[in-house]
Amino acid sequence: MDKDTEREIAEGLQQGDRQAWLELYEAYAECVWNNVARLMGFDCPAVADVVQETFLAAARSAMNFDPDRGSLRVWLYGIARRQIALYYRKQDPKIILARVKKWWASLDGEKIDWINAREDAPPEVLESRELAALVRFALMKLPAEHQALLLAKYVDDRSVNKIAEDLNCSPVAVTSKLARARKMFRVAFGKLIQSMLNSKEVSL
Amino acid sequence: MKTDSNNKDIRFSKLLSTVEKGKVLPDRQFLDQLRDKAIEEFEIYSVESEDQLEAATTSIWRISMKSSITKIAAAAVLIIAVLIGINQFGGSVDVSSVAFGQVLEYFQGSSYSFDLTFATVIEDEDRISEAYTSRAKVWEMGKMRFDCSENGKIGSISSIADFNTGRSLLLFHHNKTAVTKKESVLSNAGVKGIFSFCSKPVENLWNLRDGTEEQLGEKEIDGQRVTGFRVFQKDKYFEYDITIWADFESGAPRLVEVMANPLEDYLSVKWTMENFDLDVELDEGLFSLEVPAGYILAYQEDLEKLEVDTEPSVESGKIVQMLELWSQGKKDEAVELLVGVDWTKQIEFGREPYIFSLTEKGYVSLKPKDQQRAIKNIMAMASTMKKIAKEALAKGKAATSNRNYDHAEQYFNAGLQLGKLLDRNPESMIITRLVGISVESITLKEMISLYKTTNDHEKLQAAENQLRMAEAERDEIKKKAMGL
Repeated sequence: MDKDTEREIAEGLQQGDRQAWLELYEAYAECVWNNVARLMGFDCPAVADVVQETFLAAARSAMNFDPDRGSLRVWLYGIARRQIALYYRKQDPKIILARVKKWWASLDGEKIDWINAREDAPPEVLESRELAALVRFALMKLPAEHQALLLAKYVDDRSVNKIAEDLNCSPVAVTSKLARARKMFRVAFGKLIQSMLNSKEVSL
Repeated sequence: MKTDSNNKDIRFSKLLSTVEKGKVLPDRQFLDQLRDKAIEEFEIYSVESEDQLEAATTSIWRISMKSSITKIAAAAVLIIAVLIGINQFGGSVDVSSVAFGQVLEYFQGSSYSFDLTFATVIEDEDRISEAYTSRAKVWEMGKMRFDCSENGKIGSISSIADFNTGRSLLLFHHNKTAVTKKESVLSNAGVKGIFSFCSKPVENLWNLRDGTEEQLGEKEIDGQRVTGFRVFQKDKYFEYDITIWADFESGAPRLVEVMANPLEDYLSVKWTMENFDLDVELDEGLFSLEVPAGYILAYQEDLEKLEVDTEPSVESGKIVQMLELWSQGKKDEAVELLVGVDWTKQIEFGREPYIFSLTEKGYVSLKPKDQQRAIKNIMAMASTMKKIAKEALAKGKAATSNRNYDHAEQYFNAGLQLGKLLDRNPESMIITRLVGISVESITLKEMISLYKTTNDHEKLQAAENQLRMAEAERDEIKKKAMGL
């Protein structure tokens, strides 16, 4: 979405303009779904629930949207992130993590190097649902902006320049934020593994 | 080096892309249905209106948000302000579990007090902000009082609410200001209103419905056997995870924790209520909603109706005329008019210009929209005054260069008197006084320079003393404004 459209929608939302809301929905409904689906995996009804709660929460607070705090995309992703966290709080992620713990412990090799991208992870590891679950949980630990940045750059393969346009900041700022986001992801991943192996309660 | 970096990027990309595995594709039919639901929700919430006092409360909230400790303190005050209302308006508590019902009866009982701790949760960093604890007092007839003695920008505050009448009173002691609200703080005013924001978690706690509680079993708190209950509630902004621990035998509450998890991008908030004193004796006078003597009621007055007990004098007419000339671009005439003011005579103004008539208390008493208008007017006027003073100084300096020292002193004195005029009333707006002191200071510096040139030691010493006093006064005003 270009800056002018984004600004027009933001102004419309603040004034309670129905058309602005519809434009926002059309522009971002599928993006939000995709983002939620990435972070939740296979469970279609759960994804639908979270997407619904995200847009209803956004509708309730759209008039308070503050463009100075980030783009519409980051705002919606932030709401979605919280909805996912709430969902997991109720679902007891310990059940999923118990399975992942077993799987992680059974793996050979320098696992920490895979996470730090110093070594290639074996294809079968990259294909596993368990690793996907761990990555999702680690991403959920990140602030919405960092989460969105990592997914845009490394999953959607968007260029730094394009991301900079989305976020209304300079490419240098994006590069710097990306470096911080990668670091935070690795720390979150490491903490997750550590607490899982120590059998501590893992909260999302 | 670059290749290594690229490889790392590729590996990292592969790792993150695992989230794409098994991803559920968008359900277009579902999204079409959701569009209708969401637009309905958007339209409902976009027509909600905030009343003027809600805006005013938000305004106070914004001011208090500038300091983290007062942020917490203010929030705690307002949360407590709401607590009392739960007794009265959350009265439809309907429980099937006897034990749970017993617990809830205590909350609806006679006078009691408890410690309330408020903290925001920094989720991304897995930590809780600095917690703030204070004592809340609840009166049997649905009245409450909370005194916060925190020394922040907003100073100490008392919050009193009567939920039988739906009225509340907030007292800011440092500037002797009172804010009242006639309707229930539990009204559905939206998250913009801090009362509503704070009320929701606790409102939910007291509006527990039959069968919603989950039994948590027993444990010990400080050696006492307690029974636990947990309830999840949700409103449009938060999901609340409420835990209540009560005495195993009597059902008396020991510990209540409310975790408010935001549904959108707000901070999580945690409230803890403990150390309940269920037999406390309180004085009903503490819960009076009358505005105390000497306090000014905020957000009520129109700027045009502001009471001023003075009439414009002849000399003040010159000042007003000077401002008009300046606005017309007649700078020299404006400055000459300033020089011609007889500062020995009485200079009194009427309601306008507001820069001379509006006091801090008067400002607080204005309606929010009028406050904005007033401050805009005063800022513009202050800017003009400074420009006129600088013009007078420039003329004074030119006269000094021409060794026309008497003439120079006249210009400098005009600037100095203008500054003093702005700073003469200790009740004036802080911004007005600071502009006045600023004008005084720059003028005195020029005068010091002039008296050094003329070797007038007596006047030099007097000017230096005045400058020191002006600077000390400026520091004092700034400290006071910052709550130091």
